[in-house]
Amino acid sequence: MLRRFSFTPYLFLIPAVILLLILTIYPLIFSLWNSLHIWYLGRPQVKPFVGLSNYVNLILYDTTFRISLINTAIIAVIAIPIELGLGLLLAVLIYYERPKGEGIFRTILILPMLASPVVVGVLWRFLYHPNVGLINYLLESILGIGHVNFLGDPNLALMSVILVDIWQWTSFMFLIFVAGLFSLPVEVTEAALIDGASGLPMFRYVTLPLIKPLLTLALIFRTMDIVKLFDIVYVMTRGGPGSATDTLTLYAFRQGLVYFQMGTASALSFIIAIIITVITMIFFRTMGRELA
Amino acid sequence: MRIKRLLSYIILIIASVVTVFPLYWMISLSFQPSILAWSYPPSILFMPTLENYITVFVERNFMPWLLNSIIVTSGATALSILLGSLAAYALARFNIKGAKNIAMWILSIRMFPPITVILPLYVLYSQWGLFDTHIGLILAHCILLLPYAVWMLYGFFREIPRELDEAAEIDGASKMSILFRVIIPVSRSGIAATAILCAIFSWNDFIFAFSLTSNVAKTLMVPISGFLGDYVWEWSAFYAAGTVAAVPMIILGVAAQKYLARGMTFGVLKGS
Amino acid sequence: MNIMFINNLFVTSVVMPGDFRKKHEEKSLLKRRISRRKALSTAAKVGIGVVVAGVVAGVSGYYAGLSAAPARTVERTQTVTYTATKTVTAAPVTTPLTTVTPPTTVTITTPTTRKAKINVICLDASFSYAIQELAPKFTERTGIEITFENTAFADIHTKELTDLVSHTGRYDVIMMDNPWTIEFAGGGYLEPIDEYLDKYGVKYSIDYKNTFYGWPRFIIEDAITQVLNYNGNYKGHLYGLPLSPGCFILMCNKEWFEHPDEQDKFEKKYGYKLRPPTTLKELRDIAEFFTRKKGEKIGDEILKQDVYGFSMSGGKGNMSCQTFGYLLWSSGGDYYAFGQGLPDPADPEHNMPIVHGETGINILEWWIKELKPFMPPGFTAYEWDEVTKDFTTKRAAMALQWNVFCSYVEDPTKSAVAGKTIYSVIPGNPDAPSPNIVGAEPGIGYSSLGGWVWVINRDSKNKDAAFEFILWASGITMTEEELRAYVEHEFAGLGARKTSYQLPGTKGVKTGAFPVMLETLERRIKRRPAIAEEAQWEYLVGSPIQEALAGMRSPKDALEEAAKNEYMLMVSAGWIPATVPMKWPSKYVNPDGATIPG
Repeated sequence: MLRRFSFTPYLFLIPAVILLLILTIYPLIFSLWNSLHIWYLGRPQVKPFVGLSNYVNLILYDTTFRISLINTAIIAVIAIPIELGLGLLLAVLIYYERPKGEGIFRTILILPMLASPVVVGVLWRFLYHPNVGLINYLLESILGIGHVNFLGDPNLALMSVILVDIWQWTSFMFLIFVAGLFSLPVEVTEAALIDGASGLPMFRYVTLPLIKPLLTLALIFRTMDIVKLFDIVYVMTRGGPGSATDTLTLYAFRQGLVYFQMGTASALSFIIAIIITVITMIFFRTMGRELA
Repeated sequence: MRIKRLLSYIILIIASVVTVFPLYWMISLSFQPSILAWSYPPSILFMPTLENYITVFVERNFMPWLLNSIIVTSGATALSILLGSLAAYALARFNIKGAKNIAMWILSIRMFPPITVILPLYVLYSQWGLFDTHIGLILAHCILLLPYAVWMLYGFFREIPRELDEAAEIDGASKMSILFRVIIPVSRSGIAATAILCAIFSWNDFIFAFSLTSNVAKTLMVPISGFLGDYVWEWSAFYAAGTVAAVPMIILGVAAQKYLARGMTFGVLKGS
Repeated sequence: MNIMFINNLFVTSVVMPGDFRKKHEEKSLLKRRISRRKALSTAAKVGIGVVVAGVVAGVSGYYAGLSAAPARTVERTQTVTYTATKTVTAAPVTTPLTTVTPPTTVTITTPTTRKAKINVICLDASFSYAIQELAPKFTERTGIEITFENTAFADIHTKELTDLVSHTGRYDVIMMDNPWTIEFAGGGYLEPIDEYLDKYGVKYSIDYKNTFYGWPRFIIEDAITQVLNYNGNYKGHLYGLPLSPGCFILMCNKEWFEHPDEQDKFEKKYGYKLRPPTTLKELRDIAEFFTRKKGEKIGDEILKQDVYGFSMSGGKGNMSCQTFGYLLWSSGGDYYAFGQGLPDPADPEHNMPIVHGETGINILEWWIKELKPFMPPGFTAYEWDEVTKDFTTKRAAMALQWNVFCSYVEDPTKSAVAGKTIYSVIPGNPDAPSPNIVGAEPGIGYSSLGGWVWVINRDSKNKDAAFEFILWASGITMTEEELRAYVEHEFAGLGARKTSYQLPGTKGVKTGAFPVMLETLERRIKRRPAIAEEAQWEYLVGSPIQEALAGMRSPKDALEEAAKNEYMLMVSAGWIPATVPMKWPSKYVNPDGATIPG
């Protein structure tokens, strides 16, 4: 059949694309422009062009940037595998075991991600409190150690924050995997079983490949969001003690909305975006061949 | 084997307790007077009081903000799903040149921390009169929701066998009506899943709400964080407000369960 | 907030085993139970394996990262000895005022702009609500309608600044945090109100002799002069009127202090009578005295929790730079060589940091070594609020806290010490080894100044109405009745009406809090550096100080880092040319950190 060029497909695409374009093009270009200047909002008329020096200063000379980069990386490297693993484990248990009260388990296990990160952060801040927190109370009653300064001790603060992230977002991974597993076509599994597969090999060669794209995308999106982790840390420690829990986005926020150094903040945002892009590309290359 | 079953029960129960306990604690704290909340040892048994909820609803007048949140979240979700469906349909069904690039560009919008766009968006909105309007915030939320909506729906739509389209086309349907009469009904649960997750995200957004709204269109998250003042942190009122904010989402989440786990297998796949 | 591609699963389940599916579609159902158990066991193994692997990878990564992070230096121990170079009597504790001067009300001599409408942006806080509740009376009298916009603290600076920068004129009146005066006034965003004072017949005078750090000093009748000038005086022009000045005061648990057994024990151990401390040494003694473990006794109570002698916030940024500021100022030091004035446009040396002088290091070491053991753990991460919680739940015997918390402390539904608190001015440091900075007295405890200020937007279209509003909202044109209403609601006075702290019968006067507040505000306040980039300064200095308090670095290191940050801030702000390296400003300040008088 003859294929004529038709406008129709573009018409469908256009509303979404136009909306996004209008709302993001100007901000992004404006931000990019700002990142090439020094611009302190308290003295807005002074706006010298400095080229890439904001970027250079951040990457080479700014210790806070370096520390926040390391912190963000640590958080990502620890939290993501655990969230993935735990979520998968719980989903698998539910799927294969179909325990009684399955519905209740499923409902409970997705609760944390429904709450706002700000609320979760304050709640855990209270739970961690060295003097009145429930966790210290339990530790003291059971183990006799009290007054552990989870959020104020530089050695514990980062792990404490990571724990909260895991608590909140494992439920998300769980949801994804449950949805995925439950929508696995039964025929495939049955067919494999007929062919004699079972147990670990079954999981490894049949189920896992089916879930793999899901896993990949879960990984990509979770990584994107963890690099942008902000709310929880801001509310629990404000990046402290010192810089022990400072993350990239928290630092960008501080530069932009506390210091009002727009140039540095914009440069920082772009650096964050570049980092996320690189990671995403790596994921797509290595794991996402089936996607898109 | 029984041991394995027992073990899995144990794991699930531990996980459930760890998951639900902090939330339960927050709800319990919201019913405690703040002097009790801060005393040590923590009280397990206490006389519940409604004073925190009174602070939230009466003193600080949270109802308008709750309504705003409902309006904005519904609007943003609806708009994202609508525009997302159109775009996803185009990407899934038509052979558009550069489809992959457009899709990747849409994804890339999520790669920027919101800080990047806050100030310029504020300026833009002030100029266009969108500042502190419901529609303004709805549009801003679309920035965050559309990439997900488009990608998710794209995946769902791609799933659906083309035979259905062709059948409808033979009957004389236009592209648009194929979308609305065939594709969307078939992928109902997928759309529901997308919608629910978009809603959660829009509901819990803080940064756009605080920059782009003021007295009129302020959504829940802003006054909730207002309890954390420069000096005084009103923890107990905060918990009460947090509980109130979580309830709609919990209801949505429970409802979501049915759609998500029912399985998005299409009856159509088995038959044909 | 990750949305997942739940469905992409389908993509592959359809795409990949496509042929597979076709081949086996007709097969019969299997026995699910057997397969499930086996699958479960393997799945469980896989799951556990992933988790373990993840944890191992993560934890080793964590430790790898730790070793990559800068090594944390062990705190330097040093015995700090003070040699008293002069005998100074301890700063006097104020006696409550019993008489009151009837408040004078300013009557407006010029008719106002009637029927105007103004927008006011204010902080979402209780003193805002107090004003808003009284506002209808103002509207009644003047016909000016007001729309209040309440904004949370997290956003208010951004909102105000971005609006001022974009010159929309949306807000006529702005409630501004006092450190931002330099930023806003210096940026040319605010309307100077000097002419309006005359126009509206406000009773004021300008002092050219006793200057405000080189600039003419404004004196408005019944206003607290220090507060008025710190808040609103920029380069000799007045830009705002104070609303709710904040200062540190010391709160002490009355029951414990006045218990005869405790008094006996204390006197036996330390040799002087137990009463609210007036010097840092006494503060330390009393803090040590009252730090007791769960199960021990204070007075007649057996403690159900560990109790600490003293609580004060050491949190990152805003908290620690002010609480350390208190100790620093009271010992004769300051943050920059220009001290309490404005940065010097002519001489870069005048803008050099001095926080890392001997005075600073000594007092920080003193805090960590002598006072910290008697403070609750976790204070290094406290927000302001948690200090109050310590005090009101009787976990701390004393607390150094902002005066705005008094209403919480005196609220019987929220505080276990309501009605049982002694208020006192914060202790000073007469043992400080060197003469204090010009304009300060030895032995006085200096509090950081906090609080909010009413200012007028230069782009406002209703400046007259705006001025009339701030004249009222700062208390100058309020009637006695309105003053009382505000004062009782807030448990605090108004910065522009000294007498609001002295009205007989108010809770503040009865509990003894108001005289303490007034005394502190009149004579014992200092401000954070008067630079536009003050918000950034707070972090640059407050972060290293917090690290020192948390034991992450030695006080000397921390303060040197703070000084380096301060220097770089001055360079980027243009007050020190980049070519001038950081050096000690010996022209202005002694090596020990105090200025050369005269």
